[in-house]
Amino acid sequence: MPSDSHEIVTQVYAAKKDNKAADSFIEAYMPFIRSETAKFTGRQPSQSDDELSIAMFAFYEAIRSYSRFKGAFLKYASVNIKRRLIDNSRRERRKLGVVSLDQPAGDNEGSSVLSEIIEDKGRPYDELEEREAVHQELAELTERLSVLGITLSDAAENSPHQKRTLEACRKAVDFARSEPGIIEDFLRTRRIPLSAIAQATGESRKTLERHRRYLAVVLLIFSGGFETIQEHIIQTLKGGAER
Amino acid sequence: MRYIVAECHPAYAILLDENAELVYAANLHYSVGQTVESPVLMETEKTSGNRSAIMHTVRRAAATAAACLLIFGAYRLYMGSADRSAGSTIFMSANASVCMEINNKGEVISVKALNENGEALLSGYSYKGKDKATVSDELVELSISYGYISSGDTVSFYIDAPESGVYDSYRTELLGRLGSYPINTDIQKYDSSVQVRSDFTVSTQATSAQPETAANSTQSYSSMTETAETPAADTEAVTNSTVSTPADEQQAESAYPYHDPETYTGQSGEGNENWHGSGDHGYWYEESTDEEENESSTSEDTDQPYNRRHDWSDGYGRYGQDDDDEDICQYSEDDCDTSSESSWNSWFTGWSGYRFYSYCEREEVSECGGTDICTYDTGRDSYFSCEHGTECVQPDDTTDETEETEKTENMDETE
Repeated sequence: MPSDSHEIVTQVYAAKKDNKAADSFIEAYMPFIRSETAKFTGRQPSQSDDELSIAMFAFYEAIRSYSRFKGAFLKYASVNIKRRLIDNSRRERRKLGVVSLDQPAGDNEGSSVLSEIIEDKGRPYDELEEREAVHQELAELTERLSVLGITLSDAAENSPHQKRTLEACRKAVDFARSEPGIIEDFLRTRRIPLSAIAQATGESRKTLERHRRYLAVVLLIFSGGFETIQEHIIQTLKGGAER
Repeated sequence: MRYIVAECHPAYAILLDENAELVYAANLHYSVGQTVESPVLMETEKTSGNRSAIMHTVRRAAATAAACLLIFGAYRLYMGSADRSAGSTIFMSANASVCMEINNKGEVISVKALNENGEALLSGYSYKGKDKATVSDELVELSISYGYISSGDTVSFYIDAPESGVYDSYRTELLGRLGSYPINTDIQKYDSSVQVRSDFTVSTQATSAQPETAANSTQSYSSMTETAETPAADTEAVTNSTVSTPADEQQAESAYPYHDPETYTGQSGEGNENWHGSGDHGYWYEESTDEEENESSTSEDTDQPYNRRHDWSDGYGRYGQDDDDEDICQYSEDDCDTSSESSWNSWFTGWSGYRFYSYCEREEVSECGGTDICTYDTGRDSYFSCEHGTECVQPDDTTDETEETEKTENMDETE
């Protein structure tokens, strides 16, 4: 028994560092995750249930935040899953007042559903097109990042969370965009000229260095060819963080 | 806020928000390129910040309140016991003889009759809340009114005080207070050679810390006689064994040092403007002189440089405790770069029951195939340990031979 618990701790620690290891660890413990979900919902979850997705995510969160000082992993994960599912059910409960577009418009059985009556002002084909464009851009971005030895997971891990740090990174990106030479240097040498950026923006080089991988992703986005993604983030970059 | 789904995994998705921030979220059947509006985000610093800050504040407030209660209780207990413990004894020897027990503040905590006249004198008399001089004054006045002493008589007082300074002070006070009566006042230092006019035997009960009524005290003196005898040597022994002296208190203090939070400016950091806590429990943040480092390692919750945190638990002697595991570690303490949270696998804080702690840890594969866990505990101020994981076996390490054998056996069983 102790060796089993040690083994799982080793696996958890491996999953912390490697996304593939995390995915396979989660896959191996799917019966446990299903069981925890079933305990909460009172029925066997299907693969398409949001509750199961939330539970899997909670399990992943547990992997990331677990330390051997926190006791047995499975108990820790179980608590995390339950807490997440409760949060989710509260969140869903708040949405109860929202009318579904799939509900019938009248009391008669044969009446049309709301979505058929209400005029759809959206452009589903445009959205699909946009999604496809974003998909292609992301595939291109991932490929170009792999040349730099960076993955999106790395960048997410490295992404600033504090407002002040995010502001520092934004200043760095703004400066790089205003000085085309910076991005050109970055693409040519595959190195971000942090000294020049730090000097020009007055931000701490150490702070920028700590978020180097994240900066690489954003600079790459602004290096050209990723217009849809740029458009998604450009408003905030122009106007400052709305946090 | 709109998010673009940038990467999908079975359990999670990576989303790019409009702040150009990449975040983790639950993968609610998303596909790459999709735009979503209300995802279930991971509780990182961003989302759990408020909750953890609230919990942190609540825990800190609760711990501070508990510490305050503890200290207040201890203070009351200490002061209460100080009020009730007898510091000195004054014997009044006349036709009516009584014994007064005085606490360290000079207040009378019990008065006992030493003969029948003394009993009569104390009948209906209340000494509570009065100091020694007032009680002596009133008892002399009562003795005069009862006819036990008259003008020109001598009333002897014997003072049993722990220090000569106390004796001198009491003597002066009594002489000043009783000077107005037409009697002779004889005040002496009590010792075993002194004879008083009434026999008395001070029992353990008589010198106990608990206040007693005169009625109760008479039971201790049932064998009183009218003949004057030397106060028994055992009186002194009993008194010494039950009355706490400054020397005893000093000894107790050295065993469990107590520092007044108001005045203490020693190692605990009290007096420091960054001190959090009270009494002998708490912690403080040491401001780093390196501005850049200070700026880059500031805790979001407290806006304090958490890599400079010092915890202090005076009564437990745990401060600065060290560990000897460094010799088996392939890393030096310098490898534990505590200035950057991101260089660690985990980082968290908590309350261990007697002190706040925060630690981070890093895991690496060791040379012998196992794992090394480097732990940095800021709560113990640079406490550092590095240990092998369970799979690591070092053949030439003979110090823990039994342990290693057990580990190997466990591994074999697992395989």
